[in-house]
Amino acid sequence: MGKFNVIARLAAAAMVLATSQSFAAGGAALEHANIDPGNIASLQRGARNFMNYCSGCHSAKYVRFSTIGRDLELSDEQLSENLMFNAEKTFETVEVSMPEAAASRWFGVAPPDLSLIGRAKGADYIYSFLKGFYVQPESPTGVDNTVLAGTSMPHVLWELQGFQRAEFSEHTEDGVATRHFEGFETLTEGSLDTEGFDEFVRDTVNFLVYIAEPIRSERRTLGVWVLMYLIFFWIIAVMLKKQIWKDVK
Amino acid sequence: MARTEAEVGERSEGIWGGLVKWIDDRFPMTETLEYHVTKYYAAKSFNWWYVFGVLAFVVLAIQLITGVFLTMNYKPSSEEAFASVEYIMRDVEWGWLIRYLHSTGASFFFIVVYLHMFRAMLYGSYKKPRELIWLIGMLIFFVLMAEAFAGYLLPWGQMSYWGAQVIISLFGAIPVVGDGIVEFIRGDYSISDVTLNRFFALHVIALPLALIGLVFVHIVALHEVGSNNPDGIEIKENKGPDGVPLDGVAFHPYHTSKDLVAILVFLMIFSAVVFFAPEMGGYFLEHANFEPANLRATPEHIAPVWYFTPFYAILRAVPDKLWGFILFGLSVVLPVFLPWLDRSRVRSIRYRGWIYKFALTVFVISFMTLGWLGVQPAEGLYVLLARIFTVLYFAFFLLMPYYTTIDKTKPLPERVVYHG
Amino acid sequence: MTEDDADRIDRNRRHFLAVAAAATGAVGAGFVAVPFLASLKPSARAQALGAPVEVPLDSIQPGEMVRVLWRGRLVFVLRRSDAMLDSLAEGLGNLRDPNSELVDQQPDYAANETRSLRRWKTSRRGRSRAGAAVSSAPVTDPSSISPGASTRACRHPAI
Repeated sequence: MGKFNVIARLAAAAMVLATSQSFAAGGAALEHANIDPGNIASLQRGARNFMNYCSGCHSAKYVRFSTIGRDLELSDEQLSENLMFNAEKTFETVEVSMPEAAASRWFGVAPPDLSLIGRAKGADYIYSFLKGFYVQPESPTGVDNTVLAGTSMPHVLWELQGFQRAEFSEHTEDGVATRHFEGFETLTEGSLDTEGFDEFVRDTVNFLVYIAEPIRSERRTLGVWVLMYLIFFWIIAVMLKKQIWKDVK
Repeated sequence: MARTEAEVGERSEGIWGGLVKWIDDRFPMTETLEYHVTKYYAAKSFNWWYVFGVLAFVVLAIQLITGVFLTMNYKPSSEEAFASVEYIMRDVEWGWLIRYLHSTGASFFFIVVYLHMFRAMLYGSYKKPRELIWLIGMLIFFVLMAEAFAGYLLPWGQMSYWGAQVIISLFGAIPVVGDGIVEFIRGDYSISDVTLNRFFALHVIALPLALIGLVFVHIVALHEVGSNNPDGIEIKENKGPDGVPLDGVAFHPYHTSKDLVAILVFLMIFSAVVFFAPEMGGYFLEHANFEPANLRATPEHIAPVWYFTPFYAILRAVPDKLWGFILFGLSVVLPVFLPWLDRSRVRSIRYRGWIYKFALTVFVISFMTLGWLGVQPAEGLYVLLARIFTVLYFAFFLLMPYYTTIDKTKPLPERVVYHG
Repeated sequence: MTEDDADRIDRNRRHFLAVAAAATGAVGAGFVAVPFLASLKPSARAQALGAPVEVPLDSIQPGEMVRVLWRGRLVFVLRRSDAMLDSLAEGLGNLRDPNSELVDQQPDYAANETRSLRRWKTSRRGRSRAGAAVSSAPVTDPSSISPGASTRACRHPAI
């Protein structure tokens, strides 16, 4: 009856994971990212942030530079001078130079591709995650995260944010101890102040959400036209139906 | 369909008429059109509940056409499947639209089919002499479930993989042969490239063929006995001197013009989702499915797609695996027996007593609540609620022979009720 | 207004609406067809893969021929040695159209006796984009190419 166990384990795992979802953040509620997908300047800054701080380890392998250029109103020259550190042609995708095997060795897991992270996790999650690194001397990277406890990602943005400590309160309920996140306490200042750093992360998240679905704004524009057409057609159809049914008594 | 000489003569005028006659001598084109379209009479008293059959047909067409174009770029291999979907979404011109139409169409197929089935329950459309139409319809529903299930594995995302893992594992609950069946479905010791490939074959060839065949038979059977109507009385019993039912109007142009209005309203809602909310808050396209299938990491919360959740909630409501599986299977299959469970003398809810109205209301609430519970974690109050509504769900079917017998019905009218 | 008049007006109105509905539907169907047909065009990936191929000419030895694949076709890049170039003049008399004047096959800049953009001496270094000017099927059997004819296979200012 080995399969029973498998099912039972699967179901149990599903249940445990489902219930732990709300506690995954260590009690910390996700902060609202408040991104503005229509803000081209913010997206451009986000692209720059991504290429400078993320793309060393993370690919965005489904995204072509030419697409970014088209949507973010950047010329080929601007693309190759500011964003394409690891690519020659604008039609290339955003690859990472670090070999996956080496990455797995360094970090335990290969840093995930970020093409779709904006859709898989949502803006608020990434925003809170990037802001949620706190000092944890026992961790190999020296930091842990309030959103994703035990993450193998180091605090890449430490120069900008500085280091912070997380305050937790302990609760014991029905014999189960849970930690509740209370707040951060700054240990060392970074080169950006709090607002500047929030803005930096917000731009980056905006860009990540954009690359997750570059077609988003286009589909919305097209949707308005499609609906206008359908409403026009519908009016004619209603008049036709009424006319045809006129003689049905 | 006998045609008089005069009709034939009139039709063969001109080049067009000549062509029609030429075909008609070799293929029953005009005859078929008349039988199924221009001289198929259905009650003039159809309300808007009667549009969902046509809408299901529209969604089927959308799925077939978009499916063909997706197949041109999709790669059914565990290595390439996920990337090929993103390739469609980004690199293929308009690929995103075709994919969203297909993914949205899947969910709308179930919305429309559930409402179509509910219509049958409202007006007793499954009752004699339409039992076979109902049976074929249920077969269509089963094939549709298989089609949707196979299709959901294809993007090879986290939810595709783990959702399929959980559902396929269910068969392992069957005593003795369970493990064998699970391996047989997967064709491997886990869900793998082999499973993906066979699901692809089923999804794009076998099941759509079955679906089209069954839909054809469904319509032929319907046109043989004629459509039911909101009063649940036979319009064929009141015919004019020309043999046309007095309360019937031709499918074309009457019902077609009405259906066109419905199709456009449907397309507006459909387009609103496709263009403004294709993920539908994670119900039509689940968030976890934007991560490629990862055998080493279980997603935080595994739930089947929303259209399976009522049945999934029943499965989880039962503490015992085997009984859970049995009740799960029963909950899907039970509606098949409606024509024989329902002992009422009348078809339509309009002439039934309060008991059936009450029972149907409870059933609808149970079905929707179970659907909601299916996406909630199975814990605490949720489990209790799932058990209560599972009992109510089964009670609706199993007690039906009793309560439809004692239910006081109202007298049926001679002619359909129609207010112009 | 008689009943017949009302009848006629109704019929006209119905006819007009039917035509309007059919026309609107036809326009819609036309618009719907666009994405499906356009999806059959070469995708962004196909375009990226079919982008110009660069051949570094300085790595080719005089007299050496390099074969590159561009958009599914073989492109031959022959770096003619000085001897080859000098021998060109000897064979000119045997050619029907030595300067590509009779048959329009070469781009304007290559309509000359070497069929090239310019005539480089072997010491010159340079890079060229293969592909951009390829306009017809290449010769697939390189062994059949004589030095003088090689410019036909490599319709490009390689050297």
